[in-house]
Order: sequence, then structure tokens, then C-alpha cells
Amino acid sequence: MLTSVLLLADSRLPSGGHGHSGGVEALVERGLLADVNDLTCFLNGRVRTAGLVVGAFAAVAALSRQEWPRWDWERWDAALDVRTTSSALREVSRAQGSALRRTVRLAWPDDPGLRGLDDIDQPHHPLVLGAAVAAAGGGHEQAAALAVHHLVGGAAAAAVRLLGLDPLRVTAAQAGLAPLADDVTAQAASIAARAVADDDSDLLPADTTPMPEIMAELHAAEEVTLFAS
Amino acid sequence: MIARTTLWAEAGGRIRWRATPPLVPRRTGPDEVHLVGAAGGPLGGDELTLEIQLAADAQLTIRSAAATIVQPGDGSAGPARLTVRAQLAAGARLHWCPQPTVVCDEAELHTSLRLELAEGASALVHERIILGRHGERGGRYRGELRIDHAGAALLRHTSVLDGVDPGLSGPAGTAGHRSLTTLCGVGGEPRPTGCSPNGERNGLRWATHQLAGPGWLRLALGGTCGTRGTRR
Amino acid sequence: MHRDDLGAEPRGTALAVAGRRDRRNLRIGIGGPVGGGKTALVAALCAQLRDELSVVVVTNDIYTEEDAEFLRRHAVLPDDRIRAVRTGCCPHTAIRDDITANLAAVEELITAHDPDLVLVESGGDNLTATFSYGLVDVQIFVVDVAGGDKVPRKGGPGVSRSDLLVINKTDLAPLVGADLAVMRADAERVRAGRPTVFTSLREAPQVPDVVRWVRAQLATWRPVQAM
Repeated sequence: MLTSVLLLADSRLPSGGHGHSGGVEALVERGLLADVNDLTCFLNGRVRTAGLVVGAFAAVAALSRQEWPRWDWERWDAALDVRTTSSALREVSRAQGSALRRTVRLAWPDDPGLRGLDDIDQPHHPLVLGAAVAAAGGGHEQAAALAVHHLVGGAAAAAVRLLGLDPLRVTAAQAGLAPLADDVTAQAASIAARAVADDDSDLLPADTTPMPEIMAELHAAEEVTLFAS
Repeated sequence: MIARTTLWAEAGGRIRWRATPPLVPRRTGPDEVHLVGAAGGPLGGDELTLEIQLAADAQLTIRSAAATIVQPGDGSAGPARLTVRAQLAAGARLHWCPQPTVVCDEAELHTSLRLELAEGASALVHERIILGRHGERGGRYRGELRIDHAGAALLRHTSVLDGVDPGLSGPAGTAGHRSLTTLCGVGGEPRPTGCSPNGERNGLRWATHQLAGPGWLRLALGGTCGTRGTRR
Repeated sequence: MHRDDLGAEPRGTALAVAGRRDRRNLRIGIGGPVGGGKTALVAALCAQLRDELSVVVVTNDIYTEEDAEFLRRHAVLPDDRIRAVRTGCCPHTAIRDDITANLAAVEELITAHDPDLVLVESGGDNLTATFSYGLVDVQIFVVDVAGGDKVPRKGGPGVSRSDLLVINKTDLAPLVGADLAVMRADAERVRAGRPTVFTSLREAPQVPDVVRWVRAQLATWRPVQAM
């Protein structure tokens, strides 16, 4: 089980993540994120808001296994849609979800949860990730942890590439954020468990901050960018 | 302080209310009321609730007479809470347009604006949060915007602001801006004209989001303080 | 061309796994270092083949839409036959390690146009770049003589193992002191019988040798399809 779950934690996992900066490129372009300290602040804010949301949705998807086959993917997918204000970010999440689904469907071809996701044209990334964790034998807390892990890892890798940051110091910053990420993960997992038990998606978090949402639209409209988001 | 005010509006301009200070309405037009603050602004621990019922084809604009200043309570009282719940029947239109809310240093405000629109109803929401008075960095704010349209969820959006916390006042949050304007139209409410949907100018940054349903949301950050955002 | 079927895949992605025998579209990857002439070669192939074949292009230029713009500006293909993929500063990752964004772009074009030929142009990279055969069926590696006549000798997966090596800008050889004979001998040695062609897109923009090779690939691809 652990080995399978670790496959999903690997940044080399083919899911299109390397083409996305998690909002970092737009901030770098404007001089709003320029060094490791800025990156640390950025990741701190993102983990507590977007991290809580994607973590909770990944955990929900991992819990689908208990509820199968009366699980309704479309309902939870729509619940993430109404929490993703920016249409650019909805597209990004769906593109990465489709990319990840392509990879994990080959890896776990017979998994009913993943097969159920085929009914959604382009499922949101956290749902695919959570379903994949379940297919790999992992639990909902691990799903939440991986969602937060990729949110942090994608942004950190992009910052290293765009700014030439010292990757050792960036790794140290990530290590420093780990206790916060663990707290958020635990919180996301417990909220998700309640939402699934009560069958109520309105219990799921919708925490957000204005800058990433505004920047997402400005970035999508830019002529020249290195990252798709 | 715990206070609850309920407003009813019907087609043809009939408006009634049952009010508890500080949420006291005054009629200021055929389809318009102003909330006049009958006490100082909310303090930590206050719980204010405004219920709004719009019958079929009712029109109502709600404004406030002055900015709301949120001050810290005695520290142990918890955040000030303001909950607004509106139900709109078919053909009804609500314009929610209060004066800005200022969240002072050390203060904490949680707001919840929940709109339930029947098919054919529409709503325009216009709110502005300012972090701190002049010279302040501002307190904490948590603003839930929750909209259902024709029985389906349309928007679940909880803005988290903090004038001091580096994670939330930095690049992932407000990037040093001190005000957030939220403009949201649902159910055929036209988008504002007169400036481009997205942009950056004169210390403002804004974007207009097409929601995953019949509505749009414009977020605008302004009032930069400090040096952030000047490098480019 | 014999590659194993990768097995089961999700609904709607049946077209996207290389080596599938139920796919009629031949995918050619075009890679190579910055400035070698990849985009010019893609433009030349489109111009030469578009009247007889349905052609689409996915471009991965590091600066997003720039290569796509070049192709549009030269009007070699209608806009809707070109897709640009952003690679996040890692052009080789997008064609080798994580091909999913390119697969999605290829699939969109196949769904929209059912082309005979899909050209996937990598962003300019270095001699170590190579396409995954999960993304393309065959690949062309483009270098130029201006990089020095030692390039074939250095090898690297693109130079030694690509299905066709194109050594471009032969018109510049006398100016940069490159010995084409040395390049040819080195290429033959490292490529173990795989073909190499010398081109000058400036002097012979029809690139007849490359077009001939592409036609031969299509000819061997199609009988497999008919089986």
C-alpha cells in the first residue's frame, strides 16, 4: 500500500503538474514574490486556504470507496466547481484531473472508484487524486495530505525554476511548513469525513484569498507565460 | 449584543420590518431602505442577524447610512458576527449595497451572506472590506458568500483576510492591499460596464469571474500600503 | 514499428496511447536544440503535405504561443489546426517524462480533425532531449551545422536514436568551418544504420528528403492500420 501511495506523491507522476506554477508565475512577474521568504509566506497562506479545500475534496473522494456504488461523483465535482470562482482555475483543475486520470486508470485499471470517474468529462484534480489514493490502498487522510503536498510542491518547484532560488533552502522552507500542512491535512480529513457521513457537501470548506483568484484571470489573459497557470 | 432584524418586501413597494438595534431600517425610496446604526459598530462577541424575504416580483435595495467600524471586544468575546440571509421568490430583485466595513486592528469579524434565489430572481451584491483605519494594518475578517439559484448551489466563497498575518497579508492573500471590493451578480444581473473586466491600474487589481452557473463575481483589491507591488 | 499495447485506458482516451493499432493518425515528434530550425521544418512539412494530407501541429515552444504564431503568420495551417502547450520552463519534461498535457492537445486535434499526420514540435532544448514513444510514433531530431561539426560525435539520445536525424543549415558550413563529411561519418557511426539527411531550409525550402521520409513512414504506418 505504502509503495503505491508514494507513487502518487512523486512529482514525476505524469499529470501535467510541471506546466503549472500554482499562481507563482503571475506574482513573480509583478515582483510580489521574489525570494524564499516570500515563497514561504505564499505557501503558508495557500496551505491554510486552497490547501484546506483541495485536501478536503481529495479526502472526500478517497472516502467514496465506503459508499460505492451509490456514490455520485457529479455532485462532489459540482461542489468543487462552486468553490472555484475563477473559470481559469476551474479549467486548470479539470485539465490536471483529466491528465491524472489518464495515468491512474492505466495503473489501476480495474478500480471501480476510478472507473466511476469516467462518467465525468473532465473531473477536478483533487477528486481524481483522492480516488487514486483509495485505489492505491490509502486512506482519506493520506489523500488530503497528498493534495496539500502537490499544492506546495508544484508552487515551490515553479519558484525554483522562475527565480533560480536555492533548491536546498526551498526544501528547508517546505520542511518548516510541514507541521502546518499536517494540521491542515487533519482538519481537511475530519471535515471530509463529516461531509460524507452527513452526505452534505455544504459542510466542505470554501476558504479563499483574493490575490490568487484575481491573478489567475490576469495570468490566463497574458500573451506570454511559461506556465499554464 | 445579540440582535435580529427581519425585512419583508412585496411587489408594488410594500416593505415591512421587525427591527432590533443596531440593525434598524429607514425607508429612503419606493424600493429602498437604509440601515441606520442605532448603536456603535459591532464589537467582538456581537451577533447580528438580518433576515430578508422578497416575495414574487418584489424589488428592494438595502444600503447603510454610514461605514461599519468593527472594534475589538474585550479579547475573550470571540469575533463579531453578522449574518444576512435573503430569500428571493421568482421575479424578485435584491440590491445589497452597504457602506464599507472597516475592520480595526485586533478586531475580528465573521460575516455570512446567504442568498437563495428562485428561478427568475436576481441579485446584485456590493460589499467593501477595509483592513484597518488610517495608519492601521487591520484585523481579521472571514466573509462567507453563499448563493443558491433555482435550488442548486451557485457559489460557496469564503474570503479570509488578515492585515497582520504574513501568510494572508502577503502574496497568497492580499499582497499588501488594504481593501477588498466584492461585486456579485446573479440571475441575469448585467456585468458592470465602464472598465475592463480584468486589470491592474493605479494601485488596483481586479478580475471578473464567470461562475459555474448564472452569475459573475468581481473581486477588486486596492489601497496598497508599504512598498509591495511597486517593483515590476 | 512494433510497440506493445499499453493496455486498458479510460474512456475517451483510446486515441492517446501510442502503438495502438486502431489509430490511423501517425504522430511525428520534431525535437532538437534551440535555433536548429524545428519550427521552420514544421512549416516546410505543412506547406509540402497539407494539400494531400490532413495535418495538425502541437507546438511546445518555451515561450508559449510564439511558435504557433510563427506557423500562423506563415499561413501554413489554419489556426484551429495548431495547439500550443505551455511547459513550465521544462520543454523536455513535456515530451518525455510527463506527456499528459501534450497527449491532451493531440487528442483534441484528433477529435476535431481526424488528421493523417500529427506533428509535435518540442520546445528548443539541448542534445539530451528526446520524445517519449508514448507521445509520438517516430521522431525527427534537428541540429544545425552552426553548432559545430562535433555535434553528431557527441551523440545523445536525439542524435543517436531518433528515427531521422536532420542536419540543417548546410549553407552555413563554409562560414562556420564545419566539415559536412566529418558530420556524416560521425552520424553514421553513432546512429547504427538509422537515416540522416542534410538540409538547407533556406536554399531548398521544399525539404525533399525529409518529405520523402515522412511519406515512407506514412506508407508503413497505414498497412499496419489496415490489418
